[in-house]
Amino acid sequence: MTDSPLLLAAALMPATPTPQDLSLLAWLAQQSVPFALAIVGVLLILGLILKASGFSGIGKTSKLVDDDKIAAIAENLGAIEKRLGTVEHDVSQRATRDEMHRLELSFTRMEGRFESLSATTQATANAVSRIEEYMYSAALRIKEQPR
Amino acid sequence: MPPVRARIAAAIAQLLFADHARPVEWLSALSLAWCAQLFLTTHQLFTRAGYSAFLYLPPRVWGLVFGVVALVHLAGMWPGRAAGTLRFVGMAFAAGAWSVIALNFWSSDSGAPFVSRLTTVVAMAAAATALYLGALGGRRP
Repeated sequence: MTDSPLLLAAALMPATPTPQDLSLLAWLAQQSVPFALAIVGVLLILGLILKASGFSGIGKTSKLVDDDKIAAIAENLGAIEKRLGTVEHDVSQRATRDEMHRLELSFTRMEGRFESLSATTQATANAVSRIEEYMYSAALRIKEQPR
Repeated sequence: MPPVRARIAAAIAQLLFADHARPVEWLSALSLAWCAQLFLTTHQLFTRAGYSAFLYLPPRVWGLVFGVVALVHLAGMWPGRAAGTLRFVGMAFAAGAWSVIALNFWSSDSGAPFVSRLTTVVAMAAAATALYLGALGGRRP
C-alpha cells in the first residue's frame, strides 16, 4: 500500500548519508538541544494554532462536541421535557387505584339500589293497572244501570 | 464471553488501546523510561563512540529529561481534567527527544542504519501523534 504511514515515512527519509550530509548531521548533532527545542516549539505552536482554530484536543474536553451539536441536543432535550411535563400533568389528573376501587364499590351499591327500585316500580305499575281496571269496570256498571 | 474474561479484555483494551494515540504513548513512555534508566546508571556511556548528539548535556541531565517526559506521558494517561493538555505537551517533548535520538544515530560514524531509520519513524510518529492529540485529543474525528 503506497499510502501506508510507515512507507511514506521511509520514502521521506534520506538514503545513506554522503560525507556532505554527515558534516551537516554532525553540526546538527552538536546543536541537538536547540534542534529538539525547535521541534518541540513548532509542535506546541501548531497545537495552539489548532486550538485557536476550533480544534480542542487540549484544554477543556467538553469542547470536543461542537456548539451546533450541543444546541441541537439542548433543543431536543427541551422538547422532551415539555412532553414529559404534559404527560406528568395528565397522569396526575388520573384517578388513583384507591379512587378506582371506591368508584367500583359505589357502582356495585348503585346497581343493587337500581334492582330494588325496579322491583318497586313494577309493583306500583301493577297496582295502578288494577286501580285503572276497577275504575273502568265501575264506570261501565254505572253507565249500564237504568235511569 | 464469560463476564470475568470480558472484564479482563475490557481492562486491557482500556489500558493499552483507549484511543488511537495510546499505543504510541506507551511505546514512547516505556522506551524513554528505559533510555532514562540507561543514562542515569551508565555514567561513562558518552565516552563511547556513537553518542555525538548527546554530548550537549551530561548523561544525568539527559536521563532526567527523558525520565520527566516519560512521567508526563504516564500522567497524561491518567483520566483527569488536564489529561488532554498533558498528553499533548508530553508527546511534543517526546517528539523532540526522539528527534535527538534519531539525529544521534544518523550522525554517528558507527552507522546503525536500521536503528537510525527506526528511531526516525518513531520521531515522526511522535510528532504526528502530538498534532493528533492537539487537534482531537486522540479521538476519531
